Amino acid sequence: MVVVGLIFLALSGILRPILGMVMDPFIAFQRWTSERFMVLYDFFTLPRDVTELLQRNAQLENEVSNLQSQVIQLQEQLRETEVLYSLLDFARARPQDQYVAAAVIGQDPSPFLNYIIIDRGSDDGIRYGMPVVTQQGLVGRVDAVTSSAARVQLITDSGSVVNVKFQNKSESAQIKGSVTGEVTLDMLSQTATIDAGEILLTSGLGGNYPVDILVGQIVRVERSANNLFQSAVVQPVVDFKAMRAVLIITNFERTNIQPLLPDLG
Amino acid sequence: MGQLIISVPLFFIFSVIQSVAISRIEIIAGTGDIVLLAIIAWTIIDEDGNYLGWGIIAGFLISILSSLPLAATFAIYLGCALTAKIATRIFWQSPILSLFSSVLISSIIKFFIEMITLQYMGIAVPFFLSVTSILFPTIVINLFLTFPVYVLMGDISRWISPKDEIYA
Repeated sequence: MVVVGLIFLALSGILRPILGMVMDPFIAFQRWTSERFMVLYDFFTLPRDVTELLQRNAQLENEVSNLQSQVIQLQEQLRETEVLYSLLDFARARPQDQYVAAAVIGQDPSPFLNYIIIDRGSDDGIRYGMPVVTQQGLVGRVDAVTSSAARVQLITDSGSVVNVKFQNKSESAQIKGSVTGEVTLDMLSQTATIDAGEILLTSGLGGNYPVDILVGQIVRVERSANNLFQSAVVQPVVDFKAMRAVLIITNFERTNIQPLLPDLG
Repeated sequence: MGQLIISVPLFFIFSVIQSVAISRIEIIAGTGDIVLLAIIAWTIIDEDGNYLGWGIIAGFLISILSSLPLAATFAIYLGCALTAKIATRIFWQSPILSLFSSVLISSIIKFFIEMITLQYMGIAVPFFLSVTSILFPTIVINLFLTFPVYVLMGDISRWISPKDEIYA
């Protein structure tokens, strides 16, 4: 009866003020306790979350650096692929020649000498004297060979002499390297008229290089009435500093004309 | 003897770094020589070291990579080691002075040996152009690299042969 009576009074709203008087302090206390508890809860749980966040952050940073290194590797591969495609284009343009591609792996330690070291040697069919080219033009020729590597004398080396001809003229001349890496045109007749911008190709004279490989361009002509020959400054077409891969022409037979030269001694 | 054995892979690494990286860093036509700097630094740091052995090993390794004849590379690196030894005796109170003077003199010795060798091989080398385009820039790069190589060789030397420190 008492229970039924209380339910009736509660439903009718008569007990609301009394319940309010009891519940309000209770709820206020609960709110106060809850707030303090949450502060304590945060105090104890937040550092753990920060640690987790830090760990997660470190993981993500790791992943980012991994992805960045992958991007760099892929960019590097892309660049190598581009170089190889260019070399392939060059090889296709000269189907009469056989090529072996090689990567440039070093330079001569001496500043006086302009040589590069490539990662192909006699095991790959490389022999002394073989011409070396890139998609841009003539690089030089093989100077020394081991089983797995070779040293290439660049056309900029002071000991290098290449017989050349002009693309649109009948004159022939020689280009010579120097200790500073500059290339000069020499042995050109005083009667020949040449201008800056003219293109030089290998002439094939002397038997050291195949004919018609692009060598460079005339930058400046130096003509003097006192000299026997004209000379000129030549800009090689190959960028030797940025060279990453080269092609070695393996089916070129070097001709030794030394025994045919008159003995002046 | 242990030092000499360790110097082989060490100079091999330096030779590769020289050929792959240092030779590509040019000022005009001059390049630095990390092998030369390593020999000088090691000779100055380790006064009891086998500096002639290091010169021979470095000369042999560089001759593999370079088209210079073996005699020239031997002469260059033995000359550098001897220069460093003499400088250590002259400037015994100041290792830094002996270091920089050795680098300067060794760079000049190297330049002249290379130039004479090329002349002997029949290659014309214009003297003044070579001095301005190769020697001066080479000295600048070598002096720039001297101190980092000296610190590196100091660490390597301590690692190879740790010496007991004496406290008074």
